[in-house]
Amino acid sequence: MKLIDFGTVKEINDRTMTIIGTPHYMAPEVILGEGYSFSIDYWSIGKSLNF
Amino acid sequence: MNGIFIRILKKGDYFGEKSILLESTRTIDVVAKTNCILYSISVETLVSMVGERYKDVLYLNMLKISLAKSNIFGKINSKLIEIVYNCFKVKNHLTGETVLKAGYIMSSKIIIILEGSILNERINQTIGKRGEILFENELFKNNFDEKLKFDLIASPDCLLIEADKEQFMKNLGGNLKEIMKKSIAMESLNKIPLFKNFSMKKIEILSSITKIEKFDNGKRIIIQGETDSKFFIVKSGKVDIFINNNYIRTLNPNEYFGERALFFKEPRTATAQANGTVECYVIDYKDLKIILEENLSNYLKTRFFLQDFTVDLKDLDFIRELGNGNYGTVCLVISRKNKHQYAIKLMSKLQIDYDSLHSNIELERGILLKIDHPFIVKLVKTLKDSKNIYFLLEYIKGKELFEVIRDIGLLDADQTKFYGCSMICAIEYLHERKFIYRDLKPENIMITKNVKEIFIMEILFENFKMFYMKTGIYETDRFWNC
Repeated sequence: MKLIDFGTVKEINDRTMTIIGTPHYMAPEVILGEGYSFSIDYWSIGKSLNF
Repeated sequence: MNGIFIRILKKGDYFGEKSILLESTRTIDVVAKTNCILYSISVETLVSMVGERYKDVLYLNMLKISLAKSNIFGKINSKLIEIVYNCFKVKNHLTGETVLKAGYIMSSKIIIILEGSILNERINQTIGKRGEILFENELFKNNFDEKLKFDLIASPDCLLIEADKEQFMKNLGGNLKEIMKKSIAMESLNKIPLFKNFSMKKIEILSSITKIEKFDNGKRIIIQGETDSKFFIVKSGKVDIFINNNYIRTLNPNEYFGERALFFKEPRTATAQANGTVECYVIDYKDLKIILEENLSNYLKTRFFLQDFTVDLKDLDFIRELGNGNYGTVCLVISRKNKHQYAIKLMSKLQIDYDSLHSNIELERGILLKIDHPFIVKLVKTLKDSKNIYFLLEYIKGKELFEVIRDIGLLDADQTKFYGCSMICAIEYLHERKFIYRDLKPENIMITKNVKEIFIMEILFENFKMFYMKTGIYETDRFWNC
């Protein structure tokens, strides 16, 4: 497999706020807009495999 | 235990492993002192995740946790610990049983207390507690062969894991100083995507054929046009790459250069120059050949076409359109020079201006250029002409995971594990570099159909073997039917 499309990738140190992504696969903390970190990508892996 | 207070557990601590490991009844009561939220896992789940060897997995992890906390063993690479794990034995002692007799030479064994504590009964003094290494400070004192003066007993029940010190050191390969050096080298080698998926054994061999060389500021490490057979990995400092005296990019620690020499007998295609004082790991091709299997060689060769910075717009022939995205068209092209196929994404400058996307595209370009991983599309270079900006990318023959799922229906448990692990590999790589992906979805994952590409999986197979410890994945072939 290959990961494509790097339009949403960002370099972060700790947390970020920007609400970005595709609603179906977004982690709750992204939608809540109170800041999130790396772990949101793992949420999306779970969602990608479970639809 | 028997109504007597033993200890308080805090957030992050674990309990209950002992009766799983010994298949015994519970020997203690655990009482919530405040409101508690716990994670619990049953033996059945554990077996379904890591297999029948779950006990070894637990013991190994407990061993690693204890050794990682130690001043002496803490710096030893955890992979080395895996190699020597088989010289450890587990022992269980009930309360009051003698663990070590008077006369035992204190520096002869490495004993780690996984559970319980050890007591000098005569003076009622605790000698070692859960998670501690017994006589840790005495183990490596020079000419230390002091004997134990009293018997030591278990109180309460004790679960120990122990190894003969001589055997442990021998299996690790030498004295403590050498092992530390080797550990640090292994860690660096293991961080390099090329070697990341090597087995521990191979990394160990690799570290033994690797030399460290130092270069002063401005020193040219390899020179364009000259021929030699060395492969370099930056250990510390920065290395600038030049082609025809034009600056191309800067390499940071853990990045590598000179790999073309491993496969092609040809003069160097670029010059690498030390920017400040630089230390490099150096491997000679003759040595590397011993451990480089055909799969990895093939894989590396195809990667070279993706690192061919000389490809230019005028060398490319259009084959067909591959797709149309939000901000441009993607086409399949072939280079007349190296006969390799690439995907090219073109974006109109007008459109970019209109949507003021220049900084976004620059950001995407910067990030993609820093990334090199078999599970992530490779950006070869960016190009432009008067009308468009072009991203020259690796051509991926395949289908989106989105379509694959539509084709085969729901993924079964094995397929889910397989694709899940693959995604974790890619995401882990990005996170290690502080990149957050933020839009992971089946539409952004290409499943490669080309059978030849299974070799990439085989390279990663070693990695999957490590995953096996965590998830139970160890066969890859059967997932390639879709």
